Amino acid sequence: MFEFKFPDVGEGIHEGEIVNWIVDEGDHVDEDEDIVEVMTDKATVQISAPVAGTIQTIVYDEGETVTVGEPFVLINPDEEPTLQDEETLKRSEEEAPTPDPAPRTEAPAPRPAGNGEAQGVIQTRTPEGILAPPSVRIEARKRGIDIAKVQGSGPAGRILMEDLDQATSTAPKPTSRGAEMDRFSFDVPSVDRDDVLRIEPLEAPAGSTRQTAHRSTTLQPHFTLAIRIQADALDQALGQAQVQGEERAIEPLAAVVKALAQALAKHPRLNALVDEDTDELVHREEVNVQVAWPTEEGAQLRTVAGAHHRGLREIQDVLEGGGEDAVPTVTVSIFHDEDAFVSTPVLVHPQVTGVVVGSLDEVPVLKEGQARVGHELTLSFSFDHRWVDGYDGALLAEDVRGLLAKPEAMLLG
Amino acid sequence: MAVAEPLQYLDPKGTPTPDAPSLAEEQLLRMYRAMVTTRRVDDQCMKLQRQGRIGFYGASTGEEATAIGSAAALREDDWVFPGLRQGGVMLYRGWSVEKWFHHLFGTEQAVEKGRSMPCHFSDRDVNQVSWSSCMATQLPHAVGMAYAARYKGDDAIAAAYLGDGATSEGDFHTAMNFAGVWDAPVVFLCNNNKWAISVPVEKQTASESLAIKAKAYGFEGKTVDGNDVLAVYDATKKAVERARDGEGPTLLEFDTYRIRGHSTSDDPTRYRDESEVEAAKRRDPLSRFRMYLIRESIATQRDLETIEEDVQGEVRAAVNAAEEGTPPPLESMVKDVYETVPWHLEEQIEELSTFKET
Repeated sequence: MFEFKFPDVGEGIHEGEIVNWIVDEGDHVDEDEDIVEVMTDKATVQISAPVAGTIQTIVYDEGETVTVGEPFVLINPDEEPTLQDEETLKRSEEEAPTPDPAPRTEAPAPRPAGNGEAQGVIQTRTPEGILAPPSVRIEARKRGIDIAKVQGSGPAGRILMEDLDQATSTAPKPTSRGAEMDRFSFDVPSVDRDDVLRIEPLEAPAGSTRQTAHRSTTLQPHFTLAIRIQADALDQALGQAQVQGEERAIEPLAAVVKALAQALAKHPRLNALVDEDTDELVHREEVNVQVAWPTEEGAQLRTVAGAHHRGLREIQDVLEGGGEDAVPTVTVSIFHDEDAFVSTPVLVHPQVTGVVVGSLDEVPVLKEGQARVGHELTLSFSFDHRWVDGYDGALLAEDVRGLLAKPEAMLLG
Repeated sequence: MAVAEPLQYLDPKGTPTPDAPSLAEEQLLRMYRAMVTTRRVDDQCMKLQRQGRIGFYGASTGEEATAIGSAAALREDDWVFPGLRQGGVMLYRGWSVEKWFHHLFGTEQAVEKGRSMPCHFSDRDVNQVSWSSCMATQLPHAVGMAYAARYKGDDAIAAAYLGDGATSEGDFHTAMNFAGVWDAPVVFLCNNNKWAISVPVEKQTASESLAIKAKAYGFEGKTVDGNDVLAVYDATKKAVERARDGEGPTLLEFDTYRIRGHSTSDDPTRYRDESEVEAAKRRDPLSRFRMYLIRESIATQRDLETIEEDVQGEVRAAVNAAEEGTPPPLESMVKDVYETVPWHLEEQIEELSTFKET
């Protein structure tokens, strides 16, 4: 058994507090894999495993304080240790009075005297005199609870996780506009109602464009980027596909969906959904492209699941056939005005990327004083600027441009 | 802060400008390997320190191009006076990864036999004096060495490294002034990594840049994109040639960023915003160089991966070798300073050895 002794992670550190165990007992870890986050007087740092093996016993729980030199986790090293593992192993066996090479389910938790009270949580006295372990403090911060106002039910008034539930139920409930709105207050002007034709309420069915737009423009600061794509090759390739015995032409839209999906697969941060409750960005594995598909009754949202693995013809078939059932990770819509060339895609919350596609048009191309007819496609992108900056957005746009300007590879895919 | 645009040949995506210097493939790959090794060794050492296996470390993550680009412009017999974070210079000049780890584990096999501060490397084999934690003290030494070399008719030059914090020290002024007055064959290489432990560069000087300070001492100062290894190489090469040709010193300011803390004893989240670090990571010198090599067909992705895997194995083996190393003998405490050990130290070591037994 490898006894990992709590190291001096700074210069002359005496002790540290366990903030977060990244691994659980029974987990396998590689050498140098991070296992725990600890806080010392100087810094909060991550400590990694010195040996590869299975976590046998976590000796100190989150919130407890460990003195430098105390074993704080026991690791059962892998069968074939490296030379250096053997060395450390030998050393720890020499020092440990009762080495036990066989894995076992329960191991004694050596704790220094005076530590380790009920529930494995030790009292942590802060300058303000509040008794609460860091895990509870972190949770309180997450839930927006002022820890100073919580009544502790543990020994000596220590605040336990359950006490937070009590506090939550008495706290004012967030309004339906979402947590973000509570952080601000606006002075809204009163509207003159002397000359009224009609009054239209904002209330709209859940998932309707109006509601989504209201949410995304309130919560998500947009930034927009528009690009022009030299599309001679794309025009030719789509034309050729039709000549080669295909009964229907492939629309440029299908190519855009495919190129966007391929590019997003390379930039997973932009193929992501925002969790507003936890302020986290959830990167998604599959690129599910939702298209605002024009029908006679207006735009219908149709999704192509895993569009980055699909062929162009297949994408077009799915869109024409009404779409698939998948959580969309990005939305593409189409210009309604053929003469327009830039439009702000309104993000579909909680997505962070949105695209508006223009038509594939003929344009004059000037080269060495001669004019010829070329083809151009315009795309507008919007991103949630809380999560995506201009550089990331530009990288995505450039990748999409690259794929559409040289569509051969994509058409084969 | 820098008013003049820093010299740049590679943009952050590794696209070269038309006037970018073209180096031999062999040298470019040697530079890439040294940069990868520096990055990898730093990652490994940070982990080892947090595991309690080594005592102290300071990483140069994000600043590798300044060390490797400048090292590649030096001749083998030139002298290196490091500030901090110039381990990459030694690695480029052929210092082994194994020596690196022996030093950190303080073994008998280490060059200094565990008698210097961890992470403060030096070795005669690569003409490098010890890193100095005392700010700017190496700079007058470097000028003195350079002046002496010219006096002796030797055309070796001195590469004097410093950080932005060192420019606030008296020794910096002394060294710059002497270098200017004597036209000493020295090149001052300043890593402006924006942070001197917790002091931002804005609080270091009221000058419009660090490079401009050279003007006051009568020689040229130039700002260079420190995350562009080709720009660092080219600027250093030209400065080194001028110094060697008797045309005097140069100050180069490398615009870069300290990605990690000052050392393992520092927590930078207490004094700087994480967004600043994230922005700096986008200018990563290693990925920029990598993209350049692939873009220019100097190497394939696979070639570079082979180098990276090879370095990984080398680092692993070196850690194991150093951990197997023997502790230095007690007597080594009094050796290697005087040619023969003086009587009072003899007496002390004798007395100490009696404690050892009990």
